[in-house]
Amino acid sequence: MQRALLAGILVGISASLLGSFIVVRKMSFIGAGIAHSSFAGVVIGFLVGMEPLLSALIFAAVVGLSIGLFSKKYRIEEESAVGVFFPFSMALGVLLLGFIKGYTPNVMGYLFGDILMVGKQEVALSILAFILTLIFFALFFREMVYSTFDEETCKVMGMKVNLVYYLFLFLASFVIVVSIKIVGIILFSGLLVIPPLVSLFFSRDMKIYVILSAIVGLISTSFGLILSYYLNLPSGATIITFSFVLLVITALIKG
Amino acid sequence: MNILQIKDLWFSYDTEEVLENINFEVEEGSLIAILGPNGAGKTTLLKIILGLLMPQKGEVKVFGKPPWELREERRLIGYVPQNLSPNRKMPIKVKSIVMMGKYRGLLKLSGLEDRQVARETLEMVGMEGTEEKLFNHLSGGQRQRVLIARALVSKPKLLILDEPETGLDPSFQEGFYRMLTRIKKKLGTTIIIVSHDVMAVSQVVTKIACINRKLFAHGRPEEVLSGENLECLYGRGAAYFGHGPTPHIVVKKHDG
Repeated sequence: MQRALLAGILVGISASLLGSFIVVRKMSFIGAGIAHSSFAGVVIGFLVGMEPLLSALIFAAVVGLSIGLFSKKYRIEEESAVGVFFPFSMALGVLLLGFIKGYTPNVMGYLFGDILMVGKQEVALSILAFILTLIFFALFFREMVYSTFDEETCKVMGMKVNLVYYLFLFLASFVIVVSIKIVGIILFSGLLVIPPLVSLFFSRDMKIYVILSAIVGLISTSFGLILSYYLNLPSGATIITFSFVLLVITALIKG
Repeated sequence: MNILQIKDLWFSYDTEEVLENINFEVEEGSLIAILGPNGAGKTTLLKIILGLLMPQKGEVKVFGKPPWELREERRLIGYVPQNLSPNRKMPIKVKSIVMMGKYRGLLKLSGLEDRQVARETLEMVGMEGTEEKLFNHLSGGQRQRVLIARALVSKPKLLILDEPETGLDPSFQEGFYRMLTRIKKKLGTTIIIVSHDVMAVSQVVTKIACINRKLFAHGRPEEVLSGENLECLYGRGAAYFGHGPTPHIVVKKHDG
């Protein structure tokens, strides 16, 4: 439980930090798309005998970058690009599932999260994801704020807008994959989007907004995991339901 | 010296020709207006000058270099984009937006002096005391003024404005053109303004370039704003009256 709690809190904070920009950049669908695309990655891992988290990371990163490239190169809305890759990756995962011989993996655990699957490796990965997210924010916070506000003028000023954007997508893919065993592929986007939405109700400044998102992410994952432990409920579903209730209460009070 | 040189410039989106054989130069310290009807390619031309789009053919030089090769010189350019529509939910303060104009590169943080300059620039556009306000709580005209302050805060050598009058309240509009003239004189800034307000800009600019896919005319306002050029820009029957205190354009009803 302690292991799951530590990993959960770290990915909860990381996801909420990244999610704060996902929300104001109106990229929520992309977050969900990249998360779902890791399903094909997990199945490929089982199929070729590779660590599923590693193959999921590779596949999610490829899909994340493909969405970025596809929409920039062909001037297709990012949303439409996600609409292509999201179902394709799920379809590929389901098709390949039939080819796995012998032992059938715990598919439900990957889709909806299962803290019983959280081992030392996941804890180490969640620490790494957390540190990378903090480094990214320390280095590129201003660039992220400015390019979210007005990307075109940032390019005129010579800002490395695309580099920062692709790093952001890569980091988001990494955090998604690390979170798979805790909240699951399907529920992940809730962890990405709900804490920043709660934070938006209280924030009058980008720094406060981002920090508060991380705090709400921390509260959601820790309380969610503790509740799921004592009430014997599935971890991912409890975290997301808890944060949803938090959002509804905030909206009722502040809205 | 010319800050901008354009020679035989052609640009198309896929198969649609947007700009054809554009040639003109902008001298340092001048204030030039680019006029033309909607869809004439004015914004496309600005985006080429800013290095955001690559032309298929021709030569463009800003500060003596192709715009896409500019590095440090980029900080000498101030830009006010058209119709900026950031997410209305984004909690960003006016002071952060003005400081954006002071961006110098990765990890190069701004100092106290920069904040002082930002305050002074806000004062210049009549937005003093709004530093702590949220951008999305401002009116359309106030937002536009903040964006103008952002473009001015770095004291640019070249200021490029794409239809900056959009949303400005009439009371500020008149002062806005006077402000441009002041900036030009005080800082020696070269200003390129895309505008739809022919009459107002013709009062303050040194030169006008009339564009409707091609460059129809380029010269001093009184030379350029002739009946022939106006017809190219605004259709048959348009006429310019330069006499009296304020010049104006009359557009006759089109046949059919």
